[in-house]
Amino acid sequence: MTDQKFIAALVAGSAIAIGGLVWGAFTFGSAPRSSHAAEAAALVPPGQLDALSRQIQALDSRLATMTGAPTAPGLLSATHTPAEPTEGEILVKWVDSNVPLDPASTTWSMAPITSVALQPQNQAVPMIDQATVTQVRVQAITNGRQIGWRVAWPDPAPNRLVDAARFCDAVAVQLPLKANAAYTMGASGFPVQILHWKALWQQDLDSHFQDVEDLYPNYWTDLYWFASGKFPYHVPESFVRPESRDWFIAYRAGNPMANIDRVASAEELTAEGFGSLTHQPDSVTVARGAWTNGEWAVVFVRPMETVDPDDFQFAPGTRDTVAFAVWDGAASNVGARKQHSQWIVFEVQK
Amino acid sequence: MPQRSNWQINRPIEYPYEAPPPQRQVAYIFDVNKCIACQTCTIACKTAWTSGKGQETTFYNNVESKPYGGYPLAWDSKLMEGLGPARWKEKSLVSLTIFETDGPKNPPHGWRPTFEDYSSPNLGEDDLSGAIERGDEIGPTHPHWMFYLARICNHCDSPACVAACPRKAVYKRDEDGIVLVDQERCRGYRECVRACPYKKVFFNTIARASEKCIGCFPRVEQGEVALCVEGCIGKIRMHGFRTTQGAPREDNPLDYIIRIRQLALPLYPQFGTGPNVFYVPPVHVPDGFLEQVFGPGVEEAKELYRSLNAPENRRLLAALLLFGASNRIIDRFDVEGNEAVGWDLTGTEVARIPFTEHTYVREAFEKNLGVYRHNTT
Repeated sequence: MTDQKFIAALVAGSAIAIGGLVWGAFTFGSAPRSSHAAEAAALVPPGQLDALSRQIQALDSRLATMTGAPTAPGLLSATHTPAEPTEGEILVKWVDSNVPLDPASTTWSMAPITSVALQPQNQAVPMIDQATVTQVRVQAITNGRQIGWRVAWPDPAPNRLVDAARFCDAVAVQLPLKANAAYTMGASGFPVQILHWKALWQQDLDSHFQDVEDLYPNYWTDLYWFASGKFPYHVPESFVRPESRDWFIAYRAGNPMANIDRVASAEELTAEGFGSLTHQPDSVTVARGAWTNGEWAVVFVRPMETVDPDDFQFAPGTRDTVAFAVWDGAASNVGARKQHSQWIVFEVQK
Repeated sequence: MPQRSNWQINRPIEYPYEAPPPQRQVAYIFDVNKCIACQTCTIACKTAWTSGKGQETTFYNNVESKPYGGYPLAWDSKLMEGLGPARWKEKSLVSLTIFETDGPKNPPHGWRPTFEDYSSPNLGEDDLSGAIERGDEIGPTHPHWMFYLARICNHCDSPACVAACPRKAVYKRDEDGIVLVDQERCRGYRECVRACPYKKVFFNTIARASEKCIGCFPRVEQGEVALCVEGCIGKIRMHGFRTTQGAPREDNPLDYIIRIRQLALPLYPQFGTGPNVFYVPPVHVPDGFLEQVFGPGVEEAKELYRSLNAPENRRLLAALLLFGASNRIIDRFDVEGNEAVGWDLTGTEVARIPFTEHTYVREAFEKNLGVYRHNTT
């Protein structure tokens, strides 16, 4: 085995190990943390008739809103094919199964689709004049332990690569950490939590860390100090010696953007107003996004309850608000240049 | 939006933040007349700071040929296309700066370089302003010209990169005015890359954060000049501090050359950021082009440079002799007899340069050896 291959194997091994840790943490986080939580879960076992009947009523009332015609409750039976998207509140649908991370999972067809309108961010500099994505289709499910959000929007072509003038597609889910937090990323004393996914990070996980040779296939360089192996010196495999990473300044500074050993396609953040976005090092959110047939679909899954005070806490019956934002890489969206929704009411089915 | 004074354009500008000037301002003077574009400065910087993966197109320091060269490609003319021509009334700017052009609801007027713009650093190199016609080579001069423009971050008084960052990840240091991107806080939005009129903020494709010329701050903190200044074999550069609190000092070489004698001029002052790299304009280049690049005062500066040997300009010449004379930042200078003397920030003498270098004349016949000297081998 050549040195390079050996190092690559070593690094691949550690990546899997790190991936395992993260998944382990997620699984741990999803388990009830206290006897009180365990009791609550036992009191509301999934699949009760009660829940089913409420779900039918919810579907009925949604259909009624959509068609404008009153429908007698209970006339429509629950179906695994969701209705056409409706506007209004989001029902976090109760399922008996696991909450799937895969956006293509058939489980998602059990959850109603809510269409959420997006508006251009035109309150803080820099702004965008026009939204290139005008709505997202949102679904949410829970099994009492985990909650999943599936956000989908049309995009004729995915944008994953990033350089000085190329931007990637991204989506965020925002939840208030205090009542009356502004939907515009909260305000001082009124924090919000944000779950953020980027197509770039998804590609890092699905394929490999975006490297210079992916951006510029014909480029050449003579050397990188202390890198191992041969040109083009893949990141991170060729940068195993600690001193070889000293030129990755943001990485050395602990900047989460610069994590060349990336193991997650999403990050958790908090914010108290524009420009205050803050990365949360302890993340229990996992996400997976996939682009198929002109549409991005991204799923965020996290435990209902956590011990982190900077996490929104879900419980069966929770009724609160959520907001969404989409960045269209093709339109050079990044940072404040995005489209976002206002607060949308959601309710977690018991 | 608050207003900030800008002495280079003789009027206030609109700027998102109100802040007092730093305690002192790091500044540079480049004598364009002496630059031969050897790129030693470029390599000194690149080797020290930006030889990592993801920094292939990053040049905190570059030397380009004017009128046609530029890195990134046409960085200045692309910006000026959006700004329109600068209009001056005497030494006051009448036209709008990058902070005012697009109105308060927008970031500073800028443009976003693509990788193609970074792909041809040598385009236009050594190209003359026009084609040489038959017969032009006869005679003392021909009408065409070019010159080398060495460029680094200007550590501006009112930086566009600071104004553009939506999360305040770019900052200007109070102790020396050096402008830095907080590498922990930057989320790689590239608003600074877009806004910097001099295009001296770069996006690192591996670190996924923006990076800029750090003004060699670890050296400056020790009283040493930047690597691009130390490395300059032509000694075209001076690096030190401008006075920001109070009147310009006669004994500070930068204050003296820039503010008191006005021999060195800012680069594109009409952009409005208050750049802190000052250029002694090339004396062979027509005023029209130079005024576009260095603003008003070009003619006087050229005239002054041509008369450096006059007795009344002896002190100015002394300041120029101290270019490249020490690795220490020269804070104070004076003329002592036939010598220009420089002292560093601690008051230690670090340079003593004669106005006229000693010369030795060797006889053609070497008596001791009984041989004639030849300058051939």
